[in-house]
Amino acid sequence: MDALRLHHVTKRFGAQTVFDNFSLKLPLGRATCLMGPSGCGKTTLLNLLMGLVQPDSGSVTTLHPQSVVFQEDRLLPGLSAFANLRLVTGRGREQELTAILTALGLGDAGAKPVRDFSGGMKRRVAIARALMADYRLLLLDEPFKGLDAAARDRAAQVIKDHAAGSTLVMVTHDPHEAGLLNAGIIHLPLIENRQAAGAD
Amino acid sequence: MRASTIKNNRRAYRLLAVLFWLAVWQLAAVAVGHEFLLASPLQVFKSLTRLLLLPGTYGAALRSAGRILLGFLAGLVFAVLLAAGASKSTLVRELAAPLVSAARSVPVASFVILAIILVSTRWLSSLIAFVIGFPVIYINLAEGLHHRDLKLAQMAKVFRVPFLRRLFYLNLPQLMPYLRAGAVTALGLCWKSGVAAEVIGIPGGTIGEALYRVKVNYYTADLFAWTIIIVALSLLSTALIRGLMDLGIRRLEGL
Repeated sequence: MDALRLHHVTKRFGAQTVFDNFSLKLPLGRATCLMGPSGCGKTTLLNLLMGLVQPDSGSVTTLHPQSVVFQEDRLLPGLSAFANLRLVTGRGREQELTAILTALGLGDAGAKPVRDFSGGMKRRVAIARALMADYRLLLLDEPFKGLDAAARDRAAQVIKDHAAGSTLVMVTHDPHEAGLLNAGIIHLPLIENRQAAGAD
Repeated sequence: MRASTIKNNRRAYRLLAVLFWLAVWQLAAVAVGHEFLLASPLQVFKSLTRLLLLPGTYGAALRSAGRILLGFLAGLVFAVLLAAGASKSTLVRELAAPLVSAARSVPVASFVILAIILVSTRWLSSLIAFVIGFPVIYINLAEGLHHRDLKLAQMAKVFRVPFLRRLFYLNLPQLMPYLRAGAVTALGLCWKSGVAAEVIGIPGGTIGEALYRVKVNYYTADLFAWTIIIVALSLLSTALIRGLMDLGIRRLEGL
């Protein structure tokens, strides 16, 4: 069974064509890493999977529920790390929230407003939020951006442990990050070079 | 120069400016030479003191304030509902556009005369405060909705954040500053137009009726004294609304 399937998808933004009759299917329960040059449509592909953009033609079939680490953190700066997680989880999972923040090295910072956090700390809160939400499909758009090597390896291990058995799609520019999650790699070339990357 | 010294200097300049304009007013009153046409500051102070000792003054102030604030609050609720509807539906937005334009551009006097024909003069100032207040708040809220962070809205959608949590954590903190600005501006306009409506409609026992009597008697000392009372009430109610909104914003920020 496929976890997701893009079938002859075409997507344009004004005069720019990002996908032209593009097809892709990914297996259930596996980690896949999408790589490619800037502008090849990696983030657009995630947005298509999340339903945040609609294809001009073709169809997108995907797993639900989904969770995501966006390219930007998209946290509420006035809220604490805990409150940002509670926004997604609701109340009643305090021990889990504490555990995930501790696992990501934020054990002492949970009650502080996110606006006071460094970029790397915010990134880890965004990862914690994604892992605490219910999901069968976990989408990660450059999840380790702004993390130093130690924090990145630690976060990758937490993701791997937590998302075991789920389908995972990660966008990155770094092949080493794909290795951290034991992810298969799909290269998305720019559209002028794209004929059947990952095609049916 | 220390900050406290600069602050003290500013206060001194402001006091001097007030004293200067009071002196100009006094000289103008002496030049006109007739207290009915232009009362002096001292005569206005005496009028104000006399009015403040009359129980009827407080009754009129409370009546007018109550009705104007009622109209303002109704306008606030209507504007919030209309803006929420307009943000969700193009039809509502298009339906609201001519209504808001008309409310903004039609002269207050036209509304007042229409209102006198259609409704009791008792609720005239409420109706006018509503008509004048809601477009200001609506336009501010529409601006706030337009500038909402769509990336956060997308985040809430993907994570399936329930409606009430989205409202209190995402939407209200972003919209409250716009609502506050709109409400404060609208309330000032509600006071001006509400009292003007009362002067035209002359509902009994109101500030408008008192001002109408002043107009009939050509006594500017009372006119200025009532004006001071109106301005004080307007400032007081604006400070109250601003304080409540600020409290709301702080509470939402601290959630």
